[in-house]
Amino acid sequence: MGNIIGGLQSFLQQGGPVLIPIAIVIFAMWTFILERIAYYLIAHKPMKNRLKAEWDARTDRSSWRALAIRDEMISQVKERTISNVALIKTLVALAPLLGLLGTVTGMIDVFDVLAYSGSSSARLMAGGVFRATIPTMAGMMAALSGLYFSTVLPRWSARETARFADDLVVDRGAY
Amino acid sequence: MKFFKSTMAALMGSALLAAPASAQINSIQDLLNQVRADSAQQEQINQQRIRDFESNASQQTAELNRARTELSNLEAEARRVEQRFQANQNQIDALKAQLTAAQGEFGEVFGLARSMAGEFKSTLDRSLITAQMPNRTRVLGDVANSDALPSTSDLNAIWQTMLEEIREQREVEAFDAQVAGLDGQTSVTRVGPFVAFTTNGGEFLQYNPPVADGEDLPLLALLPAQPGGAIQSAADRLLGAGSGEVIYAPIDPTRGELLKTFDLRPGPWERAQQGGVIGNIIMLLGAITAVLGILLIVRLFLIRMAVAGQKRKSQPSKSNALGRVMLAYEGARNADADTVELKLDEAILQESPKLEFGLNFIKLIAGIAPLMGLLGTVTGMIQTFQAMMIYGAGDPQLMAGGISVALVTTMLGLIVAIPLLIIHSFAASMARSVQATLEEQSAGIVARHVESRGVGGAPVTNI
Repeated sequence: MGNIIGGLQSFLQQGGPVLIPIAIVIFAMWTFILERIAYYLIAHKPMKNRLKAEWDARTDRSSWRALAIRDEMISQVKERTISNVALIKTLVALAPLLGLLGTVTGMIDVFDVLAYSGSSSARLMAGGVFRATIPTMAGMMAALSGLYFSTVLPRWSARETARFADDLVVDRGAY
Repeated sequence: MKFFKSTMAALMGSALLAAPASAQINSIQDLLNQVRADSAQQEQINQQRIRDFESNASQQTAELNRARTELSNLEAEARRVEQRFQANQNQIDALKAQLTAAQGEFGEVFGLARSMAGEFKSTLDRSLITAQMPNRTRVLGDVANSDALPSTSDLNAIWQTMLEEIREQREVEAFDAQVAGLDGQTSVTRVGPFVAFTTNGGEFLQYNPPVADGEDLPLLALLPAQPGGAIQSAADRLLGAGSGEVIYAPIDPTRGELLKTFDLRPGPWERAQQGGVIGNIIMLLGAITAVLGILLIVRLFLIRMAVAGQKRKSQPSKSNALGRVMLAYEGARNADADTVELKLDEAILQESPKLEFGLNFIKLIAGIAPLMGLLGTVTGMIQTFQAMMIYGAGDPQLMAGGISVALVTTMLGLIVAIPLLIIHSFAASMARSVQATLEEQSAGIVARHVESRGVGGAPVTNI
């Protein structure tokens, strides 16, 4: 355990302060992704069933009012399934930007060393180059880990909404 | 002309001054008499002077003779003293020759001891351990500078100090010392000859070698800029460690030079100022937009709360968006379905711009900030290449300054863009959820309210 913490500490130290925002972004992104998965596993079906039972219990399933209420139900399902997905997408897009920020701060370190020492010794610059490459890698990792969910979650949402809409049967007799 | 005027004025002035003296002079004869009387009087005075000079001359001659005898006396004295000096010098030389002869082989040994003491003293003066034992180099200094033969204890002191230095270099010790910038004696912890920091607080110190004449200056001073971060916490860890424990601790292998460079490192604000005009513009835009974005989020949050509250209440209120849409229905409740739809759509259309207000501006600035950073990078690089054109590429220091300026703007652009993107995404998703409520659910909410109130009598029922 102490080994893991020590390794993490030395990693954070080598990568510079930008790794902390990247860690926060990864944490937030995966919190939201897990929240979405938990929603589909736990809360989605009861809500769908409740709304469907409410619809099936209605006697009037063809008037303007009934259709308005049906639209509202579908919209509620859509809103519940799509919530936080935009935020996940933003976080996935943000991670490489943070990596780029780390690259730039690392490069600034490299040129700081040049400015202090006045020499272009490769050994002196290596520390800064480390700082430049590690956040880039971390940002890429963060983005790649979330990329799959950022494309699949909107699809799930659309599919669930369409399925729910199919479940709410409209009495066609009125037309 | 001017000259002439002033001359005239002078002449008139002198004429006026002479006027009282020449009051009795009425003719040329009187003037002549007057002149003759004056010159006779002058003649008498001159005669008197000549007599005075002649009597003085004899006195001066006597004085001169006295001085001459005194000079000859002193010269004789000087010759005597010089002879004695010469005799003494001869005696010294003889004694020195006697000493050298007596020393024999040992003369070289003492010379070596002296030069070693001198060299070692300068080495010790540069060592941090001298701050703990400020008097240890005194014996070495005495041996190096005096002509007298070093005593046995002096000779022993040389190698004893050497051994002591070797032993102290492996110790971590706490001791009390004067620190410039802190009052009184301060407890200082020293890690070998590498670093020193205060025992309370772990503030790093720099060591200044003693100056030749100013002996009272404290040898330790607080570093102008503390390294902070991991280095500081390592120092704290060392202070908290028990004896015999093995821990990671800070060591400056350059013996202070590395820690001093922390002063050269610019602080966050200085760093941001390196971005120049473009950097300032980016920061200003970012600050304004961030404040605007936070206000927008607060406003959207309040709107959403009001809409959620309206969903639960049956009485529509004019103070929130959903209430206004419901009121639009109330106004058209007796019309047919198409009219109701139209009225609702119209009411929703009026609400949408209020929800989206400002969102596009935040998105625009979030897009502009990195572009401005790129602009700063390019202008910085242009400056660098101009410097290279003028001074040549030989000095990396000249180039490094410009390049780091160029990078700072990129960094500022990203620092501004990233929070703005988060703010925009957050505010946009809030606005979208309210908008979805209005566009897709308002008709349903209205319909539910109508049903719950049991007012089904209106001709809205069938499509």
